[in-house]
Amino acid sequence: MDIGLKETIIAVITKNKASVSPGGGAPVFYADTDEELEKLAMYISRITTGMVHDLENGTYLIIKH
Amino acid sequence: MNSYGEVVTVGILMGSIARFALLKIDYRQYPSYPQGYLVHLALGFIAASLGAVAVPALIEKEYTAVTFLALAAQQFRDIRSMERESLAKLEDTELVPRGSAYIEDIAKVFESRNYMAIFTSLGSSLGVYYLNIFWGIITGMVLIILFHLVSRRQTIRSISIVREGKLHFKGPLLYVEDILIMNVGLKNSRKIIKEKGLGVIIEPKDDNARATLANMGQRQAIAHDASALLGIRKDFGEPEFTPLIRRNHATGEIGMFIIPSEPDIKYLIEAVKRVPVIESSKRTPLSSEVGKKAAD
Repeated sequence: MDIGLKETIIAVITKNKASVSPGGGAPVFYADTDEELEKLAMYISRITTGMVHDLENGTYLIIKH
Repeated sequence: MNSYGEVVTVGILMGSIARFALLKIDYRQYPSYPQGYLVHLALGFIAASLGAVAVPALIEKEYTAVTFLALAAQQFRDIRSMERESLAKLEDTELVPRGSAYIEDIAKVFESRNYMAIFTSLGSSLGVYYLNIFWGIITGMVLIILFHLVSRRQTIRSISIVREGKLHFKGPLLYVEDILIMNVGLKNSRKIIKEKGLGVIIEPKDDNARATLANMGQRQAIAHDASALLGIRKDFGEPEFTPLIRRNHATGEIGMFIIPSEPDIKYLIEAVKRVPVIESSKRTPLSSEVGKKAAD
């Protein structure tokens, strides 16, 4: 049987620590630069086959649809 | 009056031809292998036999033979569930799924084609019995052509105007003209979408079409057919390249975003126009009193 998560936030990637409260259910990854943010988001999305969404405040969400 | 042998033979022949004539690799891309054909031809042959044998049975006043037709109906319902099940199981293997509405629609078509085979063989058997072989065959051919004409379906072309829509980004938000499609996070993905992506706008011609196009099953069918015909530049685990269709709730227009392997807008529009209107998605509010008055 296939079991998986759908329509959930798989991971949060941010360089704006103040905007994300840790311990909200999804793992939070911190990045220092834009390049690192972009790279982390790409890696995690490819690993989890999730979709990257940009909240435009330095935070990316990986969501499985 | 002809012998039963001739009646049954011509009936079976015409019924089988009717099934064969409807069996073609079409927009559904299915069935496409001899094995797949064989299943449907064999069932078509059985259907034709039932129709052909019914005539002598009734003439001999063997009325219980009619119960066989009920058995046949049961059989053909099984075909429908067989098609539905196998297509539904294969959904996971499709990059762009057909959607349950489209699958139901395909299954129903397969079932109905067997009834067409029964009626064709019944008609031509009657023709042979009361007239002669020649007129029996003519009756069968007329029925085949008639069924072809009757079973023709409405397509997106007849209910809407399809045209190109410009793709653009507002920050991370992807739009087809003024219809919001999705939020694309990765800059690299945005670049690829900007370079290779195409947008299509489908404008409904009237309120019926507006309600039909709003249906999610219909939209999924459009996305599936467009990507089946033009190919899709997407792999497993790249959700941002999945074709998506979203609606402008004010006007009822729908906008599709797709990255085809063959980025040719002219044929993309043509592919969208050919998508059949799915029976379960078809809405006709204008044929009701309330709907007509509300549309004023």
